[in-house]
Parts: sequence; structure tokens; C-alpha cells
Amino acid sequence: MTEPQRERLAAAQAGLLRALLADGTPPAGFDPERLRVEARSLLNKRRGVVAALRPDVAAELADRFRPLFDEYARAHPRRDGTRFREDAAAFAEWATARGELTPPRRRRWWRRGT
Amino acid sequence: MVAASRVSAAVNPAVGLRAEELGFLAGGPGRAAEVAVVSLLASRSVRVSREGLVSPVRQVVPGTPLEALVLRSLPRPLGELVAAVARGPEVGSLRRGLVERGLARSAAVRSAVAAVRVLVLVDAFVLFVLAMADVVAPWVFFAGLIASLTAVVVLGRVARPLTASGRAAVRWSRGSVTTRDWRVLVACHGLLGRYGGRPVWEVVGIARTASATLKRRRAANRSGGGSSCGGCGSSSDGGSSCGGGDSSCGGGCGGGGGD
Amino acid sequence: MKLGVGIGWRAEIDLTVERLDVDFVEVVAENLHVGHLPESVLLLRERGVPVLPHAVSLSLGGAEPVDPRRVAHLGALAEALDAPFVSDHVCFVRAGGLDSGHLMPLPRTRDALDVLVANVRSAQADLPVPLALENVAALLEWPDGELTEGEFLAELVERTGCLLLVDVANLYANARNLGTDVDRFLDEIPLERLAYVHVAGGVEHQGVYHDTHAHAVLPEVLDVLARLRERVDPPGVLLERDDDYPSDADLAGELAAIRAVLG
Repeated sequence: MTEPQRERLAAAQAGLLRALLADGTPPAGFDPERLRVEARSLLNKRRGVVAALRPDVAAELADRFRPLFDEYARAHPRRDGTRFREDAAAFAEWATARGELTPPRRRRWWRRGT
Repeated sequence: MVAASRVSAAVNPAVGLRAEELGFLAGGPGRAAEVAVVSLLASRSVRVSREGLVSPVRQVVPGTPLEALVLRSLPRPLGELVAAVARGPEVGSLRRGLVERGLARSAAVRSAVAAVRVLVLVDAFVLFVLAMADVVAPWVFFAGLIASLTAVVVLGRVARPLTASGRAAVRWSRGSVTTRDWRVLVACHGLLGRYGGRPVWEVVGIARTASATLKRRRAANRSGGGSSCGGCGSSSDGGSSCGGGDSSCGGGCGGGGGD
Repeated sequence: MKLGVGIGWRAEIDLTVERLDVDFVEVVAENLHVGHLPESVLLLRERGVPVLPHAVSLSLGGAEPVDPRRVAHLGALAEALDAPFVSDHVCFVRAGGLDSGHLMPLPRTRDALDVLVANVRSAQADLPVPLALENVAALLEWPDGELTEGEFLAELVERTGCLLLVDVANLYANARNLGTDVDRFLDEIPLERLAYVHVAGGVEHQGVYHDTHAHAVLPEVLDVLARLRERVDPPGVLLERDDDYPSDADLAGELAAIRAVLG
């Protein structure tokens, strides 16, 4: 019943999110400056959530956290169905693979507790 | 702030000891971390939720490096926070300061003494084997055994983490605890300890469910960090019932801001 | 139903919320499990404080049909909390396989309205209690809008019978950022369908107002609340704070400021 409307809406919404989250072509008719502001705001929110979920990662990266996360986020827009916790874990893995973050220590069987 | 957190008295072997240092002496790195958290709690710089989530209250100036580490590690569940802070390099420098002032023994000294103790025990065993093989006389073996046991006991005392003056400082401070200074209270007894017939966590206004996160830490022994369930919701983000695609965490309607 | 003045319950400030002694609270539906509700929420329920589930992920304005599992979760939560109604937003969250992580504004076109109405009706059919829908804050404007935001919401209410959750901070944001006429908006929407009102803080940055829920409530936002109050006595007003939580005293002060506007 609403099929044609859904199709047109889907194309428009997907185009906007691609532009905002995945460096897609800016859709026609939008103010480019506002698109930039919105993209920035979405990135800030995502970064803030990841920092709250993984304060250990944010603290270790300190000043590098923001530029690194922004680079990661642009290359890895959050897919529908991924949780923020998975996003945070994926970022930590990405930063570890780049040598920016020390890999989690393996505990040796002869080292107890401390 | 810092001056206020020092234990003070006329004839006090603990003079000049900051509450975090006292905590370290009385209960190790975890206790020092607990003192830093409670100090921030006392100044209303952080809040601890019913479920144990510790989060900052705005405009916080840390009083010590350990407090700064606590603030950098937020938001986190209390037990996990204490474990993480106890592992931090700041606790290492706290320990070094205490070693330099003759209150604690350095890890190097302790492990050297422990190694000597093992050597003495091996010695005693060798003596035993020789005695069984009739190579040495029984009285030589017994004399050797007594000497070895004495050495083990003496070395055991030397291998303890605190020096005599360190132990004296803790003993003295335990006598000066009041419910008014939460830092000294927690330093001496720990959040899971008891004071005046009440659990210490209750005295400092932490909920029972929040204190349970400390017990989990103790039971689970510290893990490698990063397995955390940080500041998002009380249980986890999203809810399994939501089919795995939750778009929000920790509130969610607000925008990300423009800076 | 008279709700009074409330605050958004958040895990970080659960004890603060209990101490603030508010008339009602709201919980973010996605952050709770029906099976093990937080002790604090159960305690508030025992005290008789209404707890309203507020969803952020239904994506009712999205092009795809609504995910029935999300609706079922919201409904189950409403029943577990004995809530009089539930809410979500007039927005889309996901599209083209991407998740924006935020409440994105809809194009105010007939197409978008038709899809929204169909999605809302389908959600309503599966919910045990009435659904209230909230206006969102936008940083950008879709081109080729055919209706004002007020007209869009009024027609949504007319066609679905939903309730309205008016966020005066979002309305202020749109007035500031997109030039929405506050008085015209308030005149166009059916205020008799008002469930309750949201108030939140934000910050202005380089000429754009950001509805952050992490800053203090601006006097300008309270002014929008006052203009709404001139037209209707809202059943409830709720303060939303999601991050950078201030002291208990500061939050109490913001609630008092809201009460003062309501008179």
C-alpha cells in the first residue's frame, strides 16, 4: 500500500546517511555547511559513547583518542545491527592492530592474582 | 585538601602519611585505590550509583595523582574501577615513596629474601638426605634443621611487605579512625571491612548492590582489563529483546554537540 | 492523567533520582531488560512513582517496516512497569544498512508522512498501551518540505490517534537552527493530545544550537515552555539529562525552575 512511498523514502534516507556517515556524495538540496555540522555531531556522539564504554581505551590513547577514533569511524560507519559495545571493541582492535594500543596482557599460569 | 587528608597527631608514627599511603600500607594497592575513590566521593566529585556505577560530577579537580587516575577511568563499576586503579603506575610511585621512607619494603628486596628462604629450605632437605644416607651424624642434621627453621622464620618477617615502622603506623592509625574522616576509615578497614558494627561501605553511603561489585572483584581475582561493562545502562546496552540493533546507549536522545 | 514534574531515570544518577523526590520518571527502553529491572526502578515503582518507557530505536519514520521485536520489548516493558503509555520519536534511525546512532529528522513530505503513519499504526497494533510521539531536534533541513512541522505532527495525530510528547528544547533547537515558528508550531499541534513535555539542556556552538542533554537548560528553552503553558496546563513535564551529570543540587534547581514556569 505504501510501497512506492517507502522506496522513494528509503533512497532519500540512505543517501543522507551515506553522506553523513560514510563520506558519500552530499544529496541535492541540503545546505552543505549543515551537512558538515550534522556529520560532526554524529561523530561526536559516537565517540562519546565509545569513550564511556571503554574508558580504559580512551585513557590509554589520551590525546590520540580523538583523531584515531575519527579516522576509524570514517572508514567503518556503524552498520545496522551492530551494538555500540561491538563498535567500541572493534575500535580497540583496530587501534591495537595499528600498534597504537597495547594488546591486552595474557595472564601466565605461574603468575597469580597481582 | 591534601593537608586535610594527612593523618595528624602529636605522637603519631603515621605523621605525614597521606590517606592513600596509609591505605596502601594497611591493605595494598586495592585499598589505596579505594581511598582515592572515597576521597572523591566525600567531596561530592563523583557519585556511585545503586548498581555501583561510578561517574564524575562536573568540575572536578583531583587532589592526588591516584584521584586523577580514578577520574580518567570513569565511568566504571566500582569493583572494576578499584581493580583498574590498583594496577595503575600511580600506585607504583606511591609504593616507591613508602619504601624510600622506610615504611614498606621494595618488591626487589622481598623477592630476594624469598629466594634466600627457598635456598635455606633446599639446604635443610639436602642435610636430611645426607643424614638418611648416614653421611652426616643425626645431631648435625638436627642442629642444621633448627638453624634452618630459625632462618626461615626470621627471613619470613623480613619478607613481609611492611617494615616495623610501617606496621606501627598502621596500628596507630587504626586507633585514630572515626566515621568523620572517610579516607582514614577506608584506609584502615577497607570498603568491605566493618567499623562500629556496620560495614564500611554503608558508613560512606555506598549501596549494598554497589559494594557487591567489590566482592566480585575479590572473588574473580583481577582480570586483564577491558572486559568492562562501562557506563551504559545498568545491565548492558541494548537488551537482547531488541534484536541486537539498539541505536542508543546511556540515554540516547541528545545530540553529539558541535565542538 | 496528571503526572507532575519528573526526571529521566539514568543508571548513573539512580540514587540522585530517588532523592530528588520527583512525581514521575522516564526510562530509556533500550537500556533495560524486562527480566531484571534495576533495583532503583523497582523501588520507585514500589513508592508509586510512574515509570514511563521511552524508546529511541523504533525508527518509526524509517522506510522499512518497524522491527516487531523492538515493539514487543517496549510493550513488555510497559506491562512490567505498569506504565500508562510509552513513547518514541518522529524520526528515522537507520537507512541503507547504516545506523546513525541518533534521531534523524524526517523529510516533511506526504511520502514520509504516509510511511510514518503506516509504521505507527503497525506499532500501535502490537502495543498494550497508547503510544506518544516526540518532535526531534534537527541540525539540518530536508529540501522540498510540503508541510510545516506543526502540520506534519497534527496530521500524524489525526491519522493514527497517537499522543504527543512535546520536547520544548527540540522545538527551541528547530526555531534557532531552522527558523521554525514556535507560536505557529504550538498553535498547529493538537495540544489536547499532549501526553507530557520534555525539557533538556544544550549548548550553542558557532551559531548552531546543539541539544546535547549534557548542559544546563537555557532560559530560552524555559521561555518556550512558558509559551506552551500559556496555551495548556501540561499533564507532566520531564527533565532529560543524559551525560555530564551535575550535582544533586543543580538538578534540583533545574526542576525548581521548571515548576516555577508551570506556576
